[in-house]
Amino acid sequence: MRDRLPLSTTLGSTLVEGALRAPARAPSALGTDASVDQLAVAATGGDVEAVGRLYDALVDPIYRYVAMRLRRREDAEDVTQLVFERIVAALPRYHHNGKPFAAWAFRIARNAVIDHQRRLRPTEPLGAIAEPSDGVLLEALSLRDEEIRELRSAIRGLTPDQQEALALRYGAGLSAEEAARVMGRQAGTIRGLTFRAIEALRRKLAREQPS
Amino acid sequence: MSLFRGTIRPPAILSDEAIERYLAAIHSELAPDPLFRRRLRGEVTNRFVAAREGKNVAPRSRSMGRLGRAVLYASFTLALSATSVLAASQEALPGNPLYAMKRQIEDLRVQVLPAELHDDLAAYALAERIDELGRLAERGDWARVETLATTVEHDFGAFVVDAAGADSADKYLTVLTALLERLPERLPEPAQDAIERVINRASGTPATRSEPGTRGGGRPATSTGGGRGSTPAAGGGPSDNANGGRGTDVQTETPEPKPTKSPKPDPTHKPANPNAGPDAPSSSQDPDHDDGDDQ
Repeated sequence: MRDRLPLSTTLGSTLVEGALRAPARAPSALGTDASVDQLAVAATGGDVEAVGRLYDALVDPIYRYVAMRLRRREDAEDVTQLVFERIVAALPRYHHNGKPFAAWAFRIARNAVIDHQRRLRPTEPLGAIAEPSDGVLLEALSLRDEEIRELRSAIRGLTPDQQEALALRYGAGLSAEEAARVMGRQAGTIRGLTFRAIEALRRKLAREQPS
Repeated sequence: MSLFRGTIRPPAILSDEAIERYLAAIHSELAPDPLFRRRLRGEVTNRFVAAREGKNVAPRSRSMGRLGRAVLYASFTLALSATSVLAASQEALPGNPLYAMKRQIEDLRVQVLPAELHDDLAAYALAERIDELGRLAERGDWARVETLATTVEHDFGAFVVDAAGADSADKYLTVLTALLERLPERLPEPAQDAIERVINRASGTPATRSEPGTRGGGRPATSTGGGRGSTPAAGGGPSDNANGGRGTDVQTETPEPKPTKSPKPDPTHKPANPNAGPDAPSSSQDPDHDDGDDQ
């Protein structure tokens, strides 16, 4: 399967080069074209505006990633809030050493999602994972397309790594290299995970097509 | 099983492009709520500023967890139970464990609410006693009927004294009389006598007033006031009225001047203790109050 780029480009640039552009809101000493890494450095120096712009740049991808990993909108908002609190709390300890800030932030998000899933797992019924009920689920609130709902249900049947790769690439819109940094894997591994995940989805959805 | 199922009909094939299209649709659907995004932005910057200035950051307002929900439900259930108990106590009759609570609540109302409502509360309490009397009679609990009838008579006397001159006195007396007249006729004789005395007094017949010392068809009066039953704030009695009270009887159309003293009770009759109800809580009793009339 061909490698996928369009969603990454929708974010404006890649994280690897640290060139993710923050949305321009107001004139800043950093300039409107400051990268996320530049904003992060300014934020560690106490620049409040840089923090706000950092948030603006990261909130959508992080929320999408979290929402794709979790099932309920409330949980997604809760975990997203927790992620940003952890980012703010850890900012003074952040030292830019060439690694992209966004990868660091997504790692915090990944850990928060894992913590949340661990907390829920002992009490969540197995059937609820395989067969979600309407009314309280994220897709029931936001997605109307039945096919998309089936797809989300099928995604939950993938391995955790495959889900993670799909969420980072299709939820957060990261490239294979960016997702690899977050997951601590090689980019080729991420491409393989993504390929196998889509293959599995294709097989699963083909089986579920009405004959 | 149909032959056309499975092997003959080729399975639908979803292309990778179709799946990618679905995934892209998920991506476009998964957008944070604008309100949430705005609120969180303010919170993030506020936390950053607070941390930068070394201030204590308030703990995060997490959404309610399972334990929190359990506590909330437990509290709600407890509150519901307490409310249910209070509601149940309002239906309690003498002899019921909740009856004391019912009377305490009535007392509490008198203590808490302003004085201008005390007549209303006394009328309400009296109506409750009459209702209890009727329900006890329906049950055939004659012992408690007799005791409660005495209490009703006493409380009614107190009410007549305290509410005399009040605008709503006539209305209340009419209502209470109607309630009394609806009581079953087959009451024990002492209770029946007490109720008749009350009705006669409520009707305020001139004939009864023409004979001092007697009420209701010449029957000797038994109630001399002495407080509003269980209402500690009442405290009105004949002696009080003699010292500038609002009068001793309710008689709006009476042409003759009102007597300044309560009718003289029958010395041979022992007035019943108004708080001698089977389960009535101890109410305010003026220790200096003379059960008899002041001569």
